[in-house]
Amino acid sequence: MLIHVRFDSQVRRLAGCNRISIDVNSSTSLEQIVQQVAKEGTEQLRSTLLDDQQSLRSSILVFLDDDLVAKDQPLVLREGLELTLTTLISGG
Amino acid sequence: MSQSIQGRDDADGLPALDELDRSVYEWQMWAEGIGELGQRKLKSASVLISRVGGVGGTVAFQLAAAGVGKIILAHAGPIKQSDLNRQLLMTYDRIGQSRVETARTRLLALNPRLNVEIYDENVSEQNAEALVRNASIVVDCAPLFEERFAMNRAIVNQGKPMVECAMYEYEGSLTTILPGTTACLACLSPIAPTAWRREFPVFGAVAGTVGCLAAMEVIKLITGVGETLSGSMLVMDLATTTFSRRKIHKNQNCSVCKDCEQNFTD
Repeated sequence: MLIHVRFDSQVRRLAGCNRISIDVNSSTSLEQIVQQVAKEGTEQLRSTLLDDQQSLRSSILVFLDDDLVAKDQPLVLREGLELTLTTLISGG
Repeated sequence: MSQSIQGRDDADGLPALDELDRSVYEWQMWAEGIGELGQRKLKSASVLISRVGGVGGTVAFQLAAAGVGKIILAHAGPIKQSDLNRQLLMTYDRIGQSRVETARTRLLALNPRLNVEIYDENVSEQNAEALVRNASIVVDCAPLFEERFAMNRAIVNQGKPMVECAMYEYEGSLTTILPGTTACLACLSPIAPTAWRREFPVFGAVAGTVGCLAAMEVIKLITGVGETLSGSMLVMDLATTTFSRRKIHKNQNCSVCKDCEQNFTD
């Protein structure tokens, strides 16, 4: 099924686009989704999203339909679902 | 209403308004839920603002205009030319002089009866607890996550609310942290994002928008009017003029706030 992954703030800059669509199956985990996204992008995007063990960094915020998702939370995936990947910002 | 010699109401301990207060704040006291009591709450409040840059300077200016009684400012260093595209409390003729001294001068020009306490230092693990102790509410506008995390720990330890606001390029974000009740900063991100850099793209209008919204959060916290952003994060993109309000949740394993027992009624 196709899901959409949206990027905000610095992640969007690194991704170079607002949103991509990726093909997943119902058992794909959040971390696997992010790994798949990272593969499509630059090394800088990859290292922002994932650590050296290819695990999702704790500084990445993931929202599912504007609701924050815990990193270990199982996702119920459906066609057309939209995740947002972002980080906190700190400009003052 | 009976008043003591010190101008405090005997019943609720809030400072009384005098004729000048009533004259200056008349128009905002017409706002639903404010009135004389709301204005007295503002006069009684003490707000710590971490940094007086594009966001924090706007917060300070709006709170000084609204009649908050005491503002505590912490920001190290002198004004630089590159501050002047956004730091509206700073002025060209004071380049090279203290930011917080300049901010105090500007705030007192607007509201001469404001109590402004200044610290020519940035928030750190060493001074955060002491700075927070003197405030009833904190506004976090620092450009470095180290400062934000230090402030977050201090407000959680002391059970004080904090308006957490930030911007980057055309984007802004804002939430209100109520320790023990809502997610704290470390619940959301226990470490600084790897891509964050001290220098960032910024327009003053974006920083100022975030600052005005943060000032309104403070006013709501003080007066009890309306609904704060506790438990949610307002995310805005001013390049496309889109706003979204996202739900955020406590991390039950958060190393900073998991044992916090403070409960707010907000």
